[in-house]
Order: sequence, then C-alpha cells, then structure tokens
Amino acid sequence: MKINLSVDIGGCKLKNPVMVASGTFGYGDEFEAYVDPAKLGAVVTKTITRHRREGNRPPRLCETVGGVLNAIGLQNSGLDDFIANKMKRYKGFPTKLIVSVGGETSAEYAEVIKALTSFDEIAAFELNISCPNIEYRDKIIAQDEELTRRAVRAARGATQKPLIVKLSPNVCDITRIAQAAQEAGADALALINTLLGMAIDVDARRSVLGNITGGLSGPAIKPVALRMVWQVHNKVTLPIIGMGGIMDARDAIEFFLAGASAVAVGTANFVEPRASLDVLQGIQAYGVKHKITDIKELIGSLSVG
Amino acid sequence: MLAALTAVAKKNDIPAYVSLEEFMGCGLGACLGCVIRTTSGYKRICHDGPVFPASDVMWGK
Repeated sequence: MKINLSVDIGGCKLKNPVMVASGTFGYGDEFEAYVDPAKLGAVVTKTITRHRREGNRPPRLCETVGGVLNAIGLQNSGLDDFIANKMKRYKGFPTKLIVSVGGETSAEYAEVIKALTSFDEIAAFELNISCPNIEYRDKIIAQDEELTRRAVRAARGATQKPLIVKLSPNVCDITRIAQAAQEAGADALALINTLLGMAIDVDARRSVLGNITGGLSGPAIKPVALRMVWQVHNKVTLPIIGMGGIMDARDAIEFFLAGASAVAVGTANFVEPRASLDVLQGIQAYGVKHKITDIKELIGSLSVG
Repeated sequence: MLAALTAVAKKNDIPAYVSLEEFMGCGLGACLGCVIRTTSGYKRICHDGPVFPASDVMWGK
C-alpha cells in the first residue's frame, strides 16, 4: 500500500512533507554526497540577508544535554553574491527550493525578496524573523506582534510566491505572533526556531559561546516545539511546518498529530547527514503499519477526548 | 600553545602550519559552526582546514 505523502504548504505543493531546516543544510550542495535533494519535500537554504554578514565570534557551537547551542550570527555572503554565485546552481533543482530571508528592518526583507521573486527556481520564501543571534534593538522581531506584522506585510508586498513565516519560541504566547503573521498575509508558518540559552565554562568563568548566549536546538526542545505547534494549530488556520528536535520518524509523527502539515529536520542532520531521508522512510513505514493512505489523515488528528 | 608556537616560528622565520580543532556541527562546511578568524575572514575548520598556515590565523579573535 502506497501512502500519499503530498502536502500543500500555503500554495507550495510538496511531494512529501519532509524538509530540512534552514541553517542546518547550507545551500544544499554541501550535503550532496549524502542526500539526494530530489527525495526531500523541500530544501530550505541558510538565511540570506541584504548585505554580507560576517557572523559571530567563535566558539559558535556547544553541545548541551540533549541539544546543541549555536550562535552563528547569520553568516552569509549577502544577496548580490547569492544571485551571482549560488542561484545558478539551482537551475533544474530537483525539489522545491525555499529561500530563507533575514533582515534587520522590514525594508530589508522586502528588498531581498523583491530581488529574488522573479527566479523560477525559488518555490517559496521563508521569513526568518526569529533568529536569536542578531541584535535588532535587543529584540527578536517575532517577539513583537507589531514588528512581525510590519515585516510580514513588507515581504507580502514584495512577492506573489508562498510566504512562510518562521516563529520564535522565546515568547509568552506564540499564538498572538502567529495570528499577527496570518493577518499580515503569511501563507504558512514554520515553528519553532531555537530557544535562547547559554552554557558556562566554570574553570574559565566564561560563557562557552563567543556570543555569550545562543539558540538551543535538538531533542531537548521537542516538547516545547510540540506544545507550540499544538497551540498554534488550534488558533490559526495557516498550514504549519513543525520543527524542533526531530531525530526520527516517530518524532515527526508527533508533530503531524499536533497539527503540522510538514516537518523539518535540523539538528539531526549534524548527527546523521541522512537523517531527513530516514525520517521520510520511517513515516512511510508508519503509514503502512497503521493503514494510513494519506498523510493528511494524520495532520492535527491528536485525540484529546 | 599553537599561538605561542606560531610566535616562535615567526620570530625565527620558520614556515609553520597549525592543525586546529573547534566544536563542529555538520562537519561538511554547511553550518558555519567551527570557524576560526583568519587574515582573510572566518574560515571553516572542517572544510577549509583543519590545517592552516600559522601566519593566517588570528589567535584569540
């Protein structure tokens, strides 16, 4: 029995619901020896910003119990270099290419998206308004409803392509930010980005990360991510891409049951570069075992009675 | 230690290379987690190294 795995993420039709999370898969080609992108539902690029960003001072990574702290700082070579050197590699890209866009102002988001929207190779944009490792007047855009509305509105005005807005878990009530994104014209939501955290080297009496604080990812944050997907699913109608500590297919299924229409594998790519393919295979096996013919049967089907 | 060795090598005009380590995420050059500051910007230890000309490395930066 073959399970229908296709899903529609706000107008972006994916052949299967397994993607890779922004920042954990580079621009796709770094993983070429391990993962054939044709097998994935979509590839999400590392975040692109208008101008080149050098990133944070090292150390940028540190392992913690059940997770990883990172503070890369959105290092990237900027929009112009992306167009000049990276876009041509995506000619004939065998799956949906989602470009993650970052910025410090609404205008910057709009400018980057406007410059990229005419490329047929790009299937959708993911608005990264939730990176915890850059300073935006000491705030993450996705921590503020009004800033979220402004950024999403600006991006919406710059493209007809599906617009996915990536939310931060570093908030009191994520459903309010989700609603703001929906009202401002988002087509889909991606959640969650990393949780702010830190680790201290007690001998050196210094923070392990050069940036002092960083974003926590990995299995440690999965319960938080699941809860937030569940809350948002119950409040907004937009499709949700669920992520946060997905290490295997069972983790992914939890996200579908909580209300995600697709999932993204992030930190697991660091443990096993083929993790996304293993997740996909495991979802198919689960479908066979539970006699599911369409993945959509699972979405939000959590029994709470 | 490598920084001290680099200084000795430089003082005595000895060509030197250093093999570096850092916490790594992907190990494939994708995550930009294991960078070191060099005279030509941040370089990925996993992909651009791990061996670098000692004179290129900006220690402690």
